[in-house]
Amino acid sequence: MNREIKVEYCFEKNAKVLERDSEELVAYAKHFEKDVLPEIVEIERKKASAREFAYQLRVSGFCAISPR
Amino acid sequence: MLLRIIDVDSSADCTKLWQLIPKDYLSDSLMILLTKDLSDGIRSIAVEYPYVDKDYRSTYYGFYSKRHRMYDKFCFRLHFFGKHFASGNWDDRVGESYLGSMVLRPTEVATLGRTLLSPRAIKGFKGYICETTFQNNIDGTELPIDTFPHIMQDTDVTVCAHAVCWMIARYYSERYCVYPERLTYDIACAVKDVSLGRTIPSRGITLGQVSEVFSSIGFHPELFVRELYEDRGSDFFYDILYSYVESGIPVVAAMHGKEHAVAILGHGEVLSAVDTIETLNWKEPFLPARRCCPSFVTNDDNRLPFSFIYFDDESEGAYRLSDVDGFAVPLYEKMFLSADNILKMFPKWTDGTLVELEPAPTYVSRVFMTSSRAYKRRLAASKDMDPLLRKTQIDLPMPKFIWIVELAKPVLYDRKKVSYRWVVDATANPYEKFPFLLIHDSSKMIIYDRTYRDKIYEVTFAKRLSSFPMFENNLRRYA
Repeated sequence: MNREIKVEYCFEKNAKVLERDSEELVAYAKHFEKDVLPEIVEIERKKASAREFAYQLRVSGFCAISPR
Repeated sequence: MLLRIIDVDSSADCTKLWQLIPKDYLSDSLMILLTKDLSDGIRSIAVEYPYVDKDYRSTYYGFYSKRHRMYDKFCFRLHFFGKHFASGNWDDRVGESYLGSMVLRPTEVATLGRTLLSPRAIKGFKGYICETTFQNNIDGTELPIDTFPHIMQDTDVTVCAHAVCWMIARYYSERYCVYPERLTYDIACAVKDVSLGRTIPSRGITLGQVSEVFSSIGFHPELFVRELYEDRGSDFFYDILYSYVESGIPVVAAMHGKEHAVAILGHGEVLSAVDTIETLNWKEPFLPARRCCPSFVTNDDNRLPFSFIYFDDESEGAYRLSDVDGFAVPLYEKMFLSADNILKMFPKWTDGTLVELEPAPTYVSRVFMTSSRAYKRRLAASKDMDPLLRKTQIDLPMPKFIWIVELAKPVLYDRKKVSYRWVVDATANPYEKFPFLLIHDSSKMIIYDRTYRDKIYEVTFAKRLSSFPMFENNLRRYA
């Protein structure tokens, strides 16, 4: 029995498959390594520190309860 | 039991409530809030007593019953209506004029308990909020109410951060069955870090402990601290906050300097992007949509629900956005990619190697998360989009949650339309080169089938793409 299930997306008929070594993807990959990745590394580092900072942020003491 | 229905012609008439309700339940300070902030459109207030409030009972059995002093086990509950009703004559009009309820606890200090008030019950409220439907009832008549829940701290067991956690937890438990209901005492007991001493009576908690509370309920909280983003001013920190709020995810905003916390659950009226660009003399390629929102909607446990916090230091209000030092976002498990990642990534996709935007001095960028189910439901109903772009997104397998990046020329943004809409996998790793599912420009789209074929496709549109309606589903507008 043929177990292959045929799936065809609506866009596939007119689609061009971009190979990983295609010009567009390689160009973006270089751009990513140079310009995007360093920023992502930096913000991920910030999020790791946020956990330590969060335990220093006392967010509710005895709050005034009268209307302001 | 229904005690009486009180006719009111303006919010000032709320003082009539003192004819029935002792000041232990309805203090002078709460009466000031009612007369100042409730809408003048309220015409009747139904008073229920004795009312068993599950949240108050949880703190009663956990704490107040252990005090030597007597506390009432029962509460008052008030129901607000936009029309006059004679006592007990509930008719078909009752549901449509219902404006919600509030519970008054016998705690003497901060007596406002579980409050389910429509934004229409608040004087002059205009803005966008996340809300869900709660089922109230009176004398056996069902009274559904769409709102975001509110409660005051009781200053014994709960402080403001507990109250805010309760609001957010109750919103989620009412809206999604995956989240369990937690009562006020459960929230206070969820803090397990006792290295700074006992947690009840509460002397306040930290943002880290807020994260513990959310984790205990089944959320996967993400924390953002302003100090870590100050190398570029606070704008990026605010942009992250806006993205979550626009996603319909309420957050706990921590104000260390003020020793306070509020829930941010929406934003105020949206200004014209064209005017904003002119006012700010904006020259950058992207104007974050946050710049067109001068305020966020907050639930502050010191006040009635639906107040505002402003960016502008000149505006009225107890707090400024500059007072917010950090915030905790209660995320669903599979929301891996966070807002700061996506805000950094999307501008890089426009460098011309993947897609090329039509030349324009500035695009308004609106970045938010939504469920793929809600997104596809809206696509299926929408006919104002290129048929291939629409059908492609409906066909494409997507994770449970997706990030959406909408880019609009300012004139289009003011007409609630967008030029481009990109879809990004919320389960992606932030270090991935291609985390998107679909990006496009006016002539082509790039589709990444990440789950079934693991292939990237390029498809050219038969004709140049025209603008289509903005996606608005996460927040409800009150105008």
